[in-house]
Amino acid sequence: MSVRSGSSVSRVGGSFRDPSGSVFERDGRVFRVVQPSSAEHFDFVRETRFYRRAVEEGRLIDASPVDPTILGAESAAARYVLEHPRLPFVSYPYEWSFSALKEAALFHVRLQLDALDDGVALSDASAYNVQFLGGQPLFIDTLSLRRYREGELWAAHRQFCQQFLCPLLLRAYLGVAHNAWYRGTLEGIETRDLRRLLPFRYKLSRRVLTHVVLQETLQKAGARDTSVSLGELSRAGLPRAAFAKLLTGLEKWIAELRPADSAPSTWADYASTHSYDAGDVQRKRAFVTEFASRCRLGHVWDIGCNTGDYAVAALEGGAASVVGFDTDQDSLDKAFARARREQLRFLPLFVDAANPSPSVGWAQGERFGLQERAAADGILALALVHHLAIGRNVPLPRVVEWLTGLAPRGVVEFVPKDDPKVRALLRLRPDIFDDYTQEVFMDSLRFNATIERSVPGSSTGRVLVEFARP
Amino acid sequence: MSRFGSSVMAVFCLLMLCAGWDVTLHAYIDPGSGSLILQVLLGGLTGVAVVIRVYWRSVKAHLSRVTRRKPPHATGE
Repeated sequence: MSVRSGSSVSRVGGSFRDPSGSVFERDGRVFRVVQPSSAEHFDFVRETRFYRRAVEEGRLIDASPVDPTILGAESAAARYVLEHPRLPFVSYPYEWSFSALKEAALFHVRLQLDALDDGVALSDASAYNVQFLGGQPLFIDTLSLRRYREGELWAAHRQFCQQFLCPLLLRAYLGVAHNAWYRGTLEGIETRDLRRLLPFRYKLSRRVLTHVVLQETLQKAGARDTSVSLGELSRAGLPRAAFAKLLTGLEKWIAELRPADSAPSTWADYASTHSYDAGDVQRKRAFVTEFASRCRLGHVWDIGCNTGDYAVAALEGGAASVVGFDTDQDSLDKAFARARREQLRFLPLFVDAANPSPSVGWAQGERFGLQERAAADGILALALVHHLAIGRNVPLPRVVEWLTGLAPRGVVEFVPKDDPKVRALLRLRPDIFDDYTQEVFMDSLRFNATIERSVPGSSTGRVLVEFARP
Repeated sequence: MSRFGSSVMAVFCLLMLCAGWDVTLHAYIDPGSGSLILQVLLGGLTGVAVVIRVYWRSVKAHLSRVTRRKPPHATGE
């Protein structure tokens, strides 16, 4: 997660691009160094009503000044050292569902509009500066805020289009989810690429014409004509009212966006179409709630979370927070809407268990792989194992080894070959999975952990097992 | 914004332009020329004038290159 520079101080990998400050960790605490070059802006911003309210309302991360020598040599030249509260889980925009990315975009625009009222602007529009606590967005980069200069251009407009707008338009207009592409580029989707993909009819819209087509045309023209200087454009400037109008226009547009492929998917209706009855569901929920309660779980990963039924069961059992992983976009959108509606400490993310997020970016240490980022106190893997072992051909013992390595304890469900869901997976292919049996599953669990308890999970022969690592 | 407000803003921008007040960009990212030119255009008439001026320069440069180049049939064959 970080680059070690002293005995216990380490620099957080993704915080090197902005020279105004960097983020460090020491003994599990998170600090932000404010360099003298940005101290004037920070002094101005923290005295504004906007800043105080944004922190009070939980929209902006708290930043308390601490002893500047706390980071030793790393903070020797610093004007301030600020301490931030530690987040239970850091997620990335390529792991967000459409609805989470849309929420983050709207949040970013609204934050800018509110900041502008108090003469504060944002120096960038990085989606990575927005994090989620459950379904609630939180802005984490205190030093992105700075004093607004009357008439200045919005330097981050292009970045906003790339990191928020174009990925949303990809799904809203073309029905293609942004996640795989975003994970590849890390910086989102360029207007140039989106412009090539969009059918002509979309380009007739005033908004697409302005932010995608015209921006790209002018970009090409600007690249050809090297006499266009920043000074000349900056002198013309963008009046404050026009800047606010630009932001409100984007806010209205983004609020209207819906996925083009909004037909109900197989999994979003899973809760009503799965192969076991209401009694089984109740027992399964009770099993998870009891597990969370007895083990006093802190942070839980729900792998294959669907719309979040069992994440909610874990929260009801007292778990502090749950991050859910799934690959079904509609389920994720429903789960996210539920987390927001019910104000749950549950964040559903697009993560494929057979291909989880890797460590990527500069020196492969800028954005972190799933397991490098955080440790779970407990995992839930319900109705998941057959998708990995049969759907993705991962040998059953290796599936169990991976799951039991993620957390010291967890609940795993085994779905036998007789179950309709497994039969459906094998419908069009030969059964080459001789080792896919309950015996192999239980032996693998015993090899990697101890079995705390095991109960029948359904009338179709499913089994629920709680494990703990010694 | 009211018509009066727009006029005030236009005069303000014009004054800024005349005074040559350089509004620096506080950003560590590359803003992209397309985005900046677009915003200058969205900013109003002053911006349109600046963009026309900038592009007129490049049109003039292009024209002077074309007129300086001798056509092949004028080489005295």
